[in-house]
Amino acid sequence: MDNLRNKWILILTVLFIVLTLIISFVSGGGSLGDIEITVVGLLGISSLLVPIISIMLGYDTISGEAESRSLLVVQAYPVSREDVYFGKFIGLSSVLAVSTTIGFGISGLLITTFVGGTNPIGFLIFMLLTIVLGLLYLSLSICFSAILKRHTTSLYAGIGLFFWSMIISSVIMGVYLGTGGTITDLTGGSMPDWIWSATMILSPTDTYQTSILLGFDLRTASISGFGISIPDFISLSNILAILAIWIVVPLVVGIYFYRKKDI
Amino acid sequence: MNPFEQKFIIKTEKLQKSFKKVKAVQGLNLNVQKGDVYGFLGPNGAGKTTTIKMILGLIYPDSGKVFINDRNLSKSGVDLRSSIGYLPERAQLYKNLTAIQTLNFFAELRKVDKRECIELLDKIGLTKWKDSKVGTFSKGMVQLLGIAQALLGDPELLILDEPTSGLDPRWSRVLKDILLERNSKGTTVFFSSHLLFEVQELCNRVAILNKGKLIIEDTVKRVSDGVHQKPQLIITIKGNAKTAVKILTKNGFSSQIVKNKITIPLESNQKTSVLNLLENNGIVIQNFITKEPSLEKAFIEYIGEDASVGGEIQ
Repeated sequence: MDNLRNKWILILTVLFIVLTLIISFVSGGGSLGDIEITVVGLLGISSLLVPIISIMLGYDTISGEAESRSLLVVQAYPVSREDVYFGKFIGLSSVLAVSTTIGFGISGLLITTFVGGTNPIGFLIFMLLTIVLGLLYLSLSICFSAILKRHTTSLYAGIGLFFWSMIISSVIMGVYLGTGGTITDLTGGSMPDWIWSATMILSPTDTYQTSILLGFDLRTASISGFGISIPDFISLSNILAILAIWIVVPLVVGIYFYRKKDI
Repeated sequence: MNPFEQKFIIKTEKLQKSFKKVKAVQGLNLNVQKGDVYGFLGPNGAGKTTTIKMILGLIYPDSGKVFINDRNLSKSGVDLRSSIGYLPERAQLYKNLTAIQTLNFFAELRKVDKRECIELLDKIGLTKWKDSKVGTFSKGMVQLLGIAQALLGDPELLILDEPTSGLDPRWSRVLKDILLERNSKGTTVFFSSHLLFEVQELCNRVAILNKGKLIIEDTVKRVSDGVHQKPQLIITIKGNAKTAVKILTKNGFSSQIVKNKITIPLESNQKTSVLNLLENNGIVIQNFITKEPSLEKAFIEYIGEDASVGGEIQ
């Protein structure tokens, strides 16, 4: 188990280092860019990559092992369903947390050393929030794995939720436009508060990206041509609370189903 | 406690389980005594694996209770499993782990000394492959490793679902010897099998299940005798077998000739008198064997033509 975990950690760590340095290099126009530029460049990639990695790590933890019958052997030992469920969550979380910390940490140090004048606290917040995003999708994918019988269905559910998170803000904006809103409001940084609230609650990916901007004290920014002005009622602490709910609720729902599950 | 009271290591009361419209197990009452080698028989889909999983708390009964050592499984399942070693049917283990890593992992779960893992690998003949990944193993090797993990910590009760499946005759023999050795030291062995000769060889008690219902539970001898089978004396004689049959018939013994051998169903205490009768009438007996009642025949008679695959539809 340890070997397998270490292999994943190594692969992900190298991936994170390489990606960060490439993005920093591209953002810096041929030389390493500073931390803020790198993080803004990384945001899109980490919002895509970290959820996918988490889903891939978690989707077959319960349903896959139940299908392959190895779970039968494990659960016949004197370990409770909670031990197995939370044990898997903690084990996989450690893979994500260690690889994110080492991978982004090393690249962050390299950038700080060679570029200087950076924002280490902001970068630290970026690393922590990236871990939180990973835990969130891990919690969701393990939950699906506990509820659904087949590991392929668990995978589809995880991917489905990931796409939901990617498109829900567009759907909300579509609703706004369809009910009399204007495109200028959306691109000009004056989105109504309810769009912000709905997006923060319903889309973990948008919540993550917003929290990173707040971590760098950026309440106004322009991303992909969209002027963004984060309203004052959205703070890092209430965003963290939302992300925590996204982690805890699937864990609780998942263990509820796993305790009742016939293996 | 009454000293004459039977000690049951497994006791089920009116165990019931359905999957959608199929009644997999219906009102099952099993009594496995401490020290038994207990054979759990039934055709495919009879409900054997479902019952085993309910005994282990891996699936939940719709109604009924399971007691392990007089303790209700639903209330203290995790503790109770510390005294049980289990091998599922067609066991699958983690393919990325080596044989020794697999046993070490399970030794940690059972909190037993890891030195036992090496001894068990030696016992099942996998020492040479201790650092090979399970993913590279043949079906039989995985089965052997599965058996080894079930034996970890010398559990009081072994529950094995088709343990010889995938094993060649040599390793089947090794497994049987291990089970008998463990049983002689007090381990109760509960196993399901399709191989009736194996059950007859190993078990002292059996249960036959069909369509989720218990047909009979008793000692192997009583189950075999229960279909009114008698031991058979099979005699090979020198000369015409028909003459011998005439003599036997005249003296009240029914017999038949199969491939020039005379088969006579009789009680055990009649063997000498039959042999003497033939010799006194000038029949030269070349050799004879006694065939005990067959569990296989009993099984077929109990299950009968009702032995369709699957549980009963509601």
